Amino acid sequence: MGLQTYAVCKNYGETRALYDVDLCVERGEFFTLLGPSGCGKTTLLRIIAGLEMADNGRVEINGQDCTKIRANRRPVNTVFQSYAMFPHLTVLENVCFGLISRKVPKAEALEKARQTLDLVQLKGFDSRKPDQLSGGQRQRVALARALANEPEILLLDEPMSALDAKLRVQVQVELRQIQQRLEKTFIMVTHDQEEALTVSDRMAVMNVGQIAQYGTVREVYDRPLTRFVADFLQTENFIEAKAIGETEVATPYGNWTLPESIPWEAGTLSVRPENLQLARPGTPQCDLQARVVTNIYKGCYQKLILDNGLTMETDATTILEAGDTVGVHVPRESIILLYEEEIQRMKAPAPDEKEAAV
Amino acid sequence: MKRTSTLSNLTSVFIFIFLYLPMLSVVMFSFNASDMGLKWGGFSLKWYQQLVHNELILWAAWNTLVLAVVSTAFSTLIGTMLAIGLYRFPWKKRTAGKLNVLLHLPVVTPDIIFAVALVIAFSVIRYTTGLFELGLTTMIVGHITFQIAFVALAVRGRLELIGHDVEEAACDLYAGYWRVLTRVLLPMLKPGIIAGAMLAFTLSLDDFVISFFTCGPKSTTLPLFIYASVKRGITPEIHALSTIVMLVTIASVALMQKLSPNTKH
Repeated sequence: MGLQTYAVCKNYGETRALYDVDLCVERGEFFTLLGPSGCGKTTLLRIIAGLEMADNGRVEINGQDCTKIRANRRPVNTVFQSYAMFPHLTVLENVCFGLISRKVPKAEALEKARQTLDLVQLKGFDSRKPDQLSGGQRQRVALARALANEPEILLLDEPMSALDAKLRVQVQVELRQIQQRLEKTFIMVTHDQEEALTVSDRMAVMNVGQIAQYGTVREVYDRPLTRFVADFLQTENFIEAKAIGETEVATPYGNWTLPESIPWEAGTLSVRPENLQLARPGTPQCDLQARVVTNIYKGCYQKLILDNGLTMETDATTILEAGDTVGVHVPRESIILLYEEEIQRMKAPAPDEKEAAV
Repeated sequence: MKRTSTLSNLTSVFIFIFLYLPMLSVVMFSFNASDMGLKWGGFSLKWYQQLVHNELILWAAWNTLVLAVVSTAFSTLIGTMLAIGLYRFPWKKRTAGKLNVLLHLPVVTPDIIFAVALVIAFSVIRYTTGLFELGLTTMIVGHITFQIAFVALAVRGRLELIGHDVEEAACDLYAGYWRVLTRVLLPMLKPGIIAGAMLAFTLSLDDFVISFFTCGPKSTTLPLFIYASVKRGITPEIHALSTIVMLVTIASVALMQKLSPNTKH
């Protein structure tokens, strides 16, 4: 067991940062907390780190209750968003800091620090000061400084937000490789869905202090459960629909038969732009016709914004221009059925809890 | 284009002359051999020699130094602790605002009011406990009270620059409170602490008003001595003394510059 939280709550004055968060992270997995800013993901990470104390609930690390234990006694280490380097210490001293704190003999600590710097591919910078390093190098030092302590869990708070786009992609891959080599538990916070998909085994999408959905990255990406999650993972097309049979729905674009039974009377469907296909108008494949309003060329594909409100992506070989009429096929198996937001009920606290909070 | 640059160059030259001419003239006249007036009587070091043999001046210099060093030591310690305490404690916003005003108050209060307040406070304490006879001790206490605010402000500025992150990082890296303080916070605060201490030191060195009110019969400092002698007329001896005081001040400023390199963190 890596990390487990039970009903963690945190308020800042009147503002609710976290409500009833149950989280379970397996040992050795790369887990990501994904969400928009202000959703409580960083607060949750800080509570796991011990930099912030939960108002309520429990935090267990490897089965041990850590709820009340201060940050300097928890077997976790953090890579801070700002890296939080010690500017007056050299790279090597920075990386040694945690080991020396724990009274590891100096020679051993230095040896371990050097090994860890090797691991993050930062050789020959031992005696530099942090302000003599580039942003990417500083990020590696921050990673090494945390990893040198061999923490049970490594926490990463938006570790790549300060890097430029190209470097970020490279670092994501490296981070994933390091995690797999060390077989350590990594928990990362990010607002970038691509980053989450690239590095994680599993992820949790958070919204207003709660976990909206969690599962493997594939599960969450392919099957977002609520409109919020779908929207955050950019499914883009939302279609209001009514159930008119066991598996049949009425939509503004016609009646469709879905491969699964429909759990509601009226609700929302979603379909990713890349799953919509062009179809020759008039053929049975063609579900709807629409005019192209805008064509955004993206190099390897083009993005078509249609006059009926849908967005689709097709390969760029078919030349289409604004004003052209296209036929669109909606593959039934790619339609995502969204559920009512379950968190709705938790948003407003029950009256008795309200009193308890005051 | 060229004209404006000549003009601005000229302006800056004039400003420097304006700023430093009085001081330069003091330095010049301290080497003047003639006894009185503005007539140049040749180069001489005799006023400096007289200075060194004047018991009163030596005594005043010693008092000034003791006062400045002791008060700076105490105010640096207390001011630094105050700044750290104010910064780390999670005050409510309103309380923090009020504390901020309180911290600035000694800086903006006119010296004379501060001095009178100190005199009253000392006499009340003396009346009730018999302690705090006016003298070097009361001067030291007086100086500490106004220096603390300057030190605390300098250190707090530095703390705000550092932010909470590094402290949290140290804590996350298993450092206890003492290690965070000695290995991270204090080393990073060093430039701020030195700047605050130097400020406190120079303020104490040339303070007149507060010293004047809180001194005793035997605790004359250099500014007080100069003030008393000037009333009897300015002598070249005073010029020599002023020149030395100026040199000490310049030296301490230079030292401060050297000790706190302009780092950007």
